[in-house]
Amino acid sequence: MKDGRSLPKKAFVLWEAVAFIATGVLEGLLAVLLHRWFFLRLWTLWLLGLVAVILVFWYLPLRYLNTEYKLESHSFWLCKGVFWQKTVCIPRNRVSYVNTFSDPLSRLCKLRSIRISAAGGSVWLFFLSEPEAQRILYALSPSFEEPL
Amino acid sequence: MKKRFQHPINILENISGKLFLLIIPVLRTLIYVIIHGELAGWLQGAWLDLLVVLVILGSGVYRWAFLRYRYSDKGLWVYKGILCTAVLFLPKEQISYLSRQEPWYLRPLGAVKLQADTDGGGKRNYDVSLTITRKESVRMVDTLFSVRLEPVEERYRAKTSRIVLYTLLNTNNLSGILYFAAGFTTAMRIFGQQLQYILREGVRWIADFFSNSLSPALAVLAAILLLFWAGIFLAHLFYLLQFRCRRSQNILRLSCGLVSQHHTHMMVSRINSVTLVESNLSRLIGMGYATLRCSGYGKRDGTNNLLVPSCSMKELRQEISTLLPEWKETENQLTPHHCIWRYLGFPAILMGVVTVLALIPGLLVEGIGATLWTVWGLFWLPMSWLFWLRWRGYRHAGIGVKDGWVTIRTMKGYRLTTTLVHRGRIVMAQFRQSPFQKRAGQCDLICYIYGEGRDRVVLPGLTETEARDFLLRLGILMPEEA
Repeated sequence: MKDGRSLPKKAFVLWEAVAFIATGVLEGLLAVLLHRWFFLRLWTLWLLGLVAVILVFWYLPLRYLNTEYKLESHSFWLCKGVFWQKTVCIPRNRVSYVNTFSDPLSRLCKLRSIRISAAGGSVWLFFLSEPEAQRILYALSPSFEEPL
Repeated sequence: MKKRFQHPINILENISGKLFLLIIPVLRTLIYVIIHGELAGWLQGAWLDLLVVLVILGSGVYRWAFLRYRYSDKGLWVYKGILCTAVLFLPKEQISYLSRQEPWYLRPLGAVKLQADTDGGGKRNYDVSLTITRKESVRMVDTLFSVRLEPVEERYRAKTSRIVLYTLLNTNNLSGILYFAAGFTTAMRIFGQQLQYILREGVRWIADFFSNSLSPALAVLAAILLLFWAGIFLAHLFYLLQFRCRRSQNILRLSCGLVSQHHTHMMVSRINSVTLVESNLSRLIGMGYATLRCSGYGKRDGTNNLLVPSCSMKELRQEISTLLPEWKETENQLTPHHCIWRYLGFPAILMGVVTVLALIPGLLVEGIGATLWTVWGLFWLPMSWLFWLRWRGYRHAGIGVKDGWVTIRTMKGYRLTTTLVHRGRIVMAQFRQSPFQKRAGQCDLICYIYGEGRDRVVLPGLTETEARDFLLRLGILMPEEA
């Protein structure tokens, strides 16, 4: 996308961190639950490890690199996808409302997620920097008036 | 304005889905006190019961405490969660639907369910649903829709006889079965064995009662169907009684309900379409009703998007032109041509086949003539009814435009519909052609209307060139595309 903006690097770090933590927790759980079945445990843990490696070193970097957005005077553009690339355009006057979301981790990194809803569907933008989220929010929903 | 909490009754609403967890203390009581008769043992383990009750209550209180809202003349804010937080903001100008529902069980507590919806969001759920005090809800609607500031211009109140007629004609067994199935599933979860016993005894009594005149199986089936129908009829009737409509500038306010009350506010500028319906039964007595499509309206209630209940078509048009004077109906400017077979083919073939099937055995086998002609007559009666309906559908179909307001007349199932929609609300038009239509230069015109779900009107049997010219005139097709 021409003149498109990427997500902040912190978002990528957060994705990777969440993937690491989730894999660690899942591996730990499986190790405890399957402690009686040695081979099953071994294979499951190896398989999960492989999925985690693909996710962390291939899928998430590509997803991060392929996600771009652009706020124009008349519309909002979002380009995303790894296997199938999607470009979404929402005319500004068709935006119904915008939600913001945050969890303790993203608050710690000063990041926010937003969802833009319009008739017919909605798009998510995960882990934007706070000022950027605020900029998009105020642009698409001018009467929001609430600091993030 | 400060952030506010919902009505405390919301705690009970929140825990209603988790009451099945009470099975743990109930089972424990059963085992200890009733089976073993050990009250001391039950008291010793009472901490577990308390814990379960506390967990259920705690989850309800958590959801209540961490959902707050505030509103101003700019819109409605909803704040959710403590660890994972979400802020939802509905700008005032985007809210198309606001409803205050006062179910019978909330009325004594002075609480109401407030629902807000925009064109965005899910098809089945409201964007915001809150349980708040009645006073607060009235204030919120006044603020968000400026109801108090705008003088009431037009009123309409449906007569009870018309509501009864509408409910009578529009209650069917399918909706009754669905309604009761949902009710029974919930009741079975709560009462279980006892309800099963009552049901079994009821069925046995009906079978015994009718055993002299009817087959028991048929009697039970008929009784069940009648019960479903009567149940849904009464539920609809109580829902729609005291139906009234009020227009004040850009706000349309609908109220209904006898035991539970429902007040709906809609932005007129956000109404997607209005449809006048003549069903096959209502047509017999020259009656019709009107529905409207607006995001949120009729989403999860029993109103069927109703705007004006049963009345004569002339009155219906009068009421609509009074309530929504800017919505202009016009005569057909484009009608189906040379496609009468498309409308009448099915009943005509069926009538022919039934006649032939009756003639052949009637000529070949002696002594069955009278029975055969009775059966033939029984088939012909609904077929000729269908033939007449289709004929009316053919005469009714067409499309017209006046000052940007499009009127599409067509047949949906066995109902004749007249849909009024603004040109700007038609988001897509599609030509559909079967191989036969292609050869004859004809097409079906499908108009997709703006809204949350899929809403389309199909107009079959138009001449392709005429249809293209019409869409060109409407501005949906560009000259180079035509």
